[in-house]
Amino acid sequence: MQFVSLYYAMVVAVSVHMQLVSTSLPFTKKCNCTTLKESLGVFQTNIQNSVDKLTRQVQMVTGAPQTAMATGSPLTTHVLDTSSGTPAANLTISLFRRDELGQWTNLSNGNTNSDGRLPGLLTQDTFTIGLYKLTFDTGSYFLEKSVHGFYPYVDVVFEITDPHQHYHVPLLLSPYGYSTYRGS
Amino acid sequence: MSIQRLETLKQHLHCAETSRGAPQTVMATGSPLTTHVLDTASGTPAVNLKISLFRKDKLGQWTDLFNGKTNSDGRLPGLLTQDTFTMGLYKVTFDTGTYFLEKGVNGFYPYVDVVFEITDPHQHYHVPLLLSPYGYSTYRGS
Repeated sequence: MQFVSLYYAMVVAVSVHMQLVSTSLPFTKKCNCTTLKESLGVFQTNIQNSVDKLTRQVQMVTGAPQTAMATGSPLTTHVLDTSSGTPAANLTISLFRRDELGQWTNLSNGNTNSDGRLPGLLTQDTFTIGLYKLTFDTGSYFLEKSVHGFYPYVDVVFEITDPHQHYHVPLLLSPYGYSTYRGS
Repeated sequence: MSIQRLETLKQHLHCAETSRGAPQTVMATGSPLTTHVLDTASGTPAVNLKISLFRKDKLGQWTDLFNGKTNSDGRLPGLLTQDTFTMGLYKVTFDTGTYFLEKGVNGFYPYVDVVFEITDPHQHYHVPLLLSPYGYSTYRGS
């Protein structure tokens, strides 16, 4: 008895769906179906089409994570002043890449923003396999804060083996110590 | 305990016997600048890691002062003597690339440069490196 009720409920659902389809909604097709099996098949296809369209629309609005990163720099940094517990703002950073002759070519320069970051270090096109160096002008940073620091600057030299990955090279800095690591 | 470590400890005891044994005396006989490399990924000292010490001269060039490899305790004694320890900018270069390559490990840093300023050569400066394949830290110790 329950099975029969379920069967009839399905038939009604599919019929209603087919009615809607017949009013020519986008990405749905009208069913010239004579059997329930055919109707169910078309029903499934229509639902899938609708889901695909909605997914594309959501991605366009919000941007998939990979898309967001592809538009930003593939190499990022972040400087935190662990002695004050704040981001290190207005700290000069220079980015270099080692050329075939073993010389360091200056790629970009800038000062960290109020969050201790420096967006736009590189674009995906300019990000190639090789040795890179980030120079953090820690000397000037602490001088401007009237703090005596041990390090006039900090060089972090690293190797990029896969330019399709995102590399995050932060610096945790204090006047007499620092640390760095490879983040994602 | 390694033979080297015992030798180091023995020297400390000898100095204590022959002088008033103040810590400064012990340190004065050793290098005023020391380092220590620890491999935090394996929890052991970084052995056989090549270290080079440089000082910046008046023309802004880095002069090579000393080269060597860390011992079984991750240390490299004899970096400097008190006579050669003057005020100025120094750089210690740790050959981390070769170190990890010899261990069959892929590392992010081909080498690590630590550049620092000595303002008082009468102090003792300890510049250690806590190292792992994808991160490192350093600090000024005593």
